[in-house]
Amino acid sequence: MKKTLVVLLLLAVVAFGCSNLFAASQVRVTVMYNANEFSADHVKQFEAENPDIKIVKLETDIARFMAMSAAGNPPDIMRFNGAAVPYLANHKMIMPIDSLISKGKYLKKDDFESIVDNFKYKGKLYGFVKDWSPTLIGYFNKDAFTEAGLKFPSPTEALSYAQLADYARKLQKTEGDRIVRRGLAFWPGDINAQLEQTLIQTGTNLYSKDGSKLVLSTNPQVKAICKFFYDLAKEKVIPSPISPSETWEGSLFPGGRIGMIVYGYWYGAMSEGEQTKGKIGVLAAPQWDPKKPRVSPSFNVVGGVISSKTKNKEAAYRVFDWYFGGPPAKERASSGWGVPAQKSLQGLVATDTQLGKDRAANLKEEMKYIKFGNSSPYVLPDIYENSMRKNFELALKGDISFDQFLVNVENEVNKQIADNKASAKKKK
Amino acid sequence: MAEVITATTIKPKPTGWFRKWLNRPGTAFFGFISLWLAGIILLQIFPLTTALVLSFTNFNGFNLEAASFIGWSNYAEAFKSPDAWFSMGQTLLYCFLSIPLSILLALGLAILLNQKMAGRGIYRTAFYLPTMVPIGATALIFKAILDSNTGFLNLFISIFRPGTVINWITDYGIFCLALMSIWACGARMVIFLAGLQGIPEEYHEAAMIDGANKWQVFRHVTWPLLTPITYFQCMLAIIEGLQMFIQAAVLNQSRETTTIWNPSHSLLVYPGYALQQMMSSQRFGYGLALIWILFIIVLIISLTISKTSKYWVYYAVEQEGGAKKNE
Repeated sequence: MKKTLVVLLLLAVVAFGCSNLFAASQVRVTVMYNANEFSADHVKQFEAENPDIKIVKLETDIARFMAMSAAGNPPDIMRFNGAAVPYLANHKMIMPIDSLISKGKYLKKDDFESIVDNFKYKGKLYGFVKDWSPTLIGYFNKDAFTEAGLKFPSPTEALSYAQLADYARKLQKTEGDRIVRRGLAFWPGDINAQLEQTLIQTGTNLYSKDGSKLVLSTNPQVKAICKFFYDLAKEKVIPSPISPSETWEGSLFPGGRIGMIVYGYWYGAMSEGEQTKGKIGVLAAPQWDPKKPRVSPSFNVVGGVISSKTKNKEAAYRVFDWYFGGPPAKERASSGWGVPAQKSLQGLVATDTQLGKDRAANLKEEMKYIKFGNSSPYVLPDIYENSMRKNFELALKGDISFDQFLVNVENEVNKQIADNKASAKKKK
Repeated sequence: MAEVITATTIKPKPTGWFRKWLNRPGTAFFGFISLWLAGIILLQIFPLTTALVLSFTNFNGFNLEAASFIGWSNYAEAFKSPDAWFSMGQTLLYCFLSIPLSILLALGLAILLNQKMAGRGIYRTAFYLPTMVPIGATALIFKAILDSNTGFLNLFISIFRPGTVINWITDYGIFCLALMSIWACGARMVIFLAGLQGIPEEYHEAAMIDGANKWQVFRHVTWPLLTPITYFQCMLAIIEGLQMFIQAAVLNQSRETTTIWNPSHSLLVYPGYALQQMMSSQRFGYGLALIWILFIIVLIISLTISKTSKYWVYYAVEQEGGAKKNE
């Protein structure tokens, strides 16, 4: 008995030692990404195909990311928005991947759609797009349109903003002050995004060309666009801080609680619900000025970047290449949750339903007019977003005037840009 | 006859420096507290000192190498910032509303549930239950009640005035938060109940024999004996109230974009503002200055309450410089 126990103990020690030896031969790559996008199955699949790499998967968490970065040990791969790339690259937090692409297996430069430029800064590519959406594409509830006596809009011909607002007012259904059905909802429901997207259509940008200034008060388009959304918010036709939705609008639309939802192409994959199955139509991206050439904006392009402090560039890039260009990219391209950023992956979405057919027709048309905006290398987009939300709420509640709202945002963001620039200069 | 072993006979005689050191009275003391001491140094003193140092820099939260010392700028800005003042005002309003109400309600409930009555255990459990509900679930319950469009409260008001929509959360956010805190006053109630049960029955009986009515018994016997517990509850409630943030953040999250770091303005409380500056605006140094200001405020209030406690808290032993206690 004693001997058996000793043999078993020795075997356990040998097995433990072997497993440690095997683990030591593996390269660890830390990936900070949303669990629903970079799943546990993805990790298993990659590790099965690449036994020499071990993925340490972390959930996206800005606090943890900051702590890891400050400690000089950031994750190797991180989920970020393309708009953050100029700031991250300017602060040398991420590395260019141009030289690694040629050594990779999946991502090929000649296969890239122009949307990939969202991850470029000063001519270098710093990351890649997971998938993207023309963000002004919308969806409408056919029952609500029939009830309001409105003709269904075409999935390929764009409405003007004025028409959209008119439809929204007619679709709004109330009982006293209570909203039974909201006329319209924009993604992500806040003025900062609405202004940013619409501004792209006017051919102007939020920031000056070098990104050193937020330009609001001297751009006449800004005031007109903000006033448009301010008026809709005051009428409570769109959700806002003075008339908030009880929950995320994306979950209210499938239940028939919203007439039109401008959430971007991706939302089509979840726009139908039990009550609205087969009753959802596609809205082409509305145009701010119908007399001008058509523009379909895209902003908030999500993807990944590689840390400049990664200890093993090659291994990190192998994971990156596999996720953004390999089997998961194909899986995403077939799901309809976004548009792939590679030419070779286009057209994989099933079009067996009317909604699927309308989405495909719409996308084909929108792709001709895609444009995206600029961002600042001196601040992350959150500062502009926070300031817009706060001051818009104050303006809607009458605490500040409409004009003051724009002045406040411009001052707050530009002060932060100036501070960041000054401290960067001092450091040099 | 058995040999008598005395302490002197078994004590090892110190010879080398190590033995001498081992036998010093402080060695055992520090040996026993060393783990705790390491914990407090690593987990409290070190982070606090680091935060203090960083509050004098323009650290952006990502890159320590790029941070530089900017003197008192962050502190000066905190005193000039309208948002800092606004959020501090919101936090103080929350404390002003929630602390007295929740303490009074908890005391009232504890007195009621200390009486002999049928189903007392059920009532005690029922009032304590909200304390056990996680904050996230509490916020969901309150959202279901207070939502402007589909909330039960507005639907109830609509019975009398059809179609009523009051934006409780976005227009009266702090009042909603105070209501949430009052709803979960069960924990305070249990502490008061324990205090009440610790008062010997004979005190009450003696007062009654002397002719005191129920109010007089409460005023001159029960209340003085409960003041140490009330003092403890007040201190805890003030610290918790000034640090309250999670409740506001969770109650606020109705839309995808109003994330935990980006609250609606009506629910912006001081710790939330500090965290927003750190996590969302990349102004870590400024955020830490705000947190240090809060720490100093909490410290001043705690010390003030502690120093004045001798005037209103009953101590069995006379406090130095204190007023004469209730006899």
